[in-house]
Amino acid sequence: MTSVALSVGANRIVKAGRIPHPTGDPTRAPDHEVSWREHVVETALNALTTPVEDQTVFEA
Amino acid sequence: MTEKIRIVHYINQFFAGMGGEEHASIPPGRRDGPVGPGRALQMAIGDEAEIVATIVCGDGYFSDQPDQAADDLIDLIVDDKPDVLIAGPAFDSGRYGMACGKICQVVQKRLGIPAITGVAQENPAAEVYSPYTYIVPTGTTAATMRQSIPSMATLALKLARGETLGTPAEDNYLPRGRRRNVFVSAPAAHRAVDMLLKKVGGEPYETELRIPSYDRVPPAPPIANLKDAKLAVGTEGGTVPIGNPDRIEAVRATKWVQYPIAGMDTMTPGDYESAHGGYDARFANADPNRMVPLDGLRTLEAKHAFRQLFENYFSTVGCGMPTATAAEIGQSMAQEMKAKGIDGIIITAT
Repeated sequence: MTSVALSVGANRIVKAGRIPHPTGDPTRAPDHEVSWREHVVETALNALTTPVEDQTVFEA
Repeated sequence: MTEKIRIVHYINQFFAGMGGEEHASIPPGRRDGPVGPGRALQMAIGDEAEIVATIVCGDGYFSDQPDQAADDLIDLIVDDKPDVLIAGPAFDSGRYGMACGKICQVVQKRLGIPAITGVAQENPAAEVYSPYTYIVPTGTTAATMRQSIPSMATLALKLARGETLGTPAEDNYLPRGRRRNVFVSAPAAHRAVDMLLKKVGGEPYETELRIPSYDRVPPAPPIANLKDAKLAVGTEGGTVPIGNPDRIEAVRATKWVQYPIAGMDTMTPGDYESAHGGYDARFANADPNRMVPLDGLRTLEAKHAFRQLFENYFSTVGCGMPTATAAEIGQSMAQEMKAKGIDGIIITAT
């Protein structure tokens, strides 16, 4: 729901999973899902430490 | 003859003739009858109603302790048995406007009577309090008092008589974000085409559905030293312990909650459920880390990517929530985060 995040004015947005599982991906094997989630969280940490002037979307 | 409608009027220290900023700290007080702008208001109202009392509070006093000030003011007027409260007008004065909005909101709730105020559209009170009370739009300065008073008088009388108000445009108050069913002669398709033709033809038309305009918040500066940062995690996906102990609402939630995660490496399936009424909760219920990524955060915490994860996670339900409520919840969460020394938060969104 990156579009909603953009329309309501969020400034640091991570493009991750789908609506019912933003930090999950049930199509992956359980181990892969866990490592993928860690990657999403890392992307979020990167977003928190990145200076932004305007709304910015970070791709996980 | 029927009894006169009883009005109580709220003004600040300046309009009560007690002085300007140097007297802004005066505590709540009460006087009999109209004072200052209340006299003009009484003339506009005529014989049908009487301003029985005027309550006064310094703007500084009110803004320093709004809850206490509102409580004290209500104690002062409860014996006056008012039928309606009028506050202000406050024009573009920020603290005065916020005080007027607050006293209207509290009086309606506590005394069960209608309340109105008047502020300029630019006054922060216009946005904050228009969902909760009737606000007549005024000019920015007291020089427009003469234009504001009759509108406020008319609106107050209508409400005191228990009349049903027309639309905000018809009865001159700021839209309150409420919907009311009405019967109209033409079906929606006809009205839409009429509107489109007017738009194409450059004629004035009025939309039936205002698209909300969202304000923009400047981005916060980045976390300078992540390795030394205390982070939090939250979600608007409604993740709560099984049984939803705080009864957070599935739609139009009015609150946010926090639940402990200290000492936990993962969000254990079966311990949590989604209280959110707007998405298929099966995936998040099967593995709540898909909504609150605790396992990933713990792995990175163990690798010292950041110093520490806050002991609770934050949760609310972002489903059919008015943006005004969302803003209140966000501000309240931010206060808690500041109080607990949290440097940043990851909030998942559905």
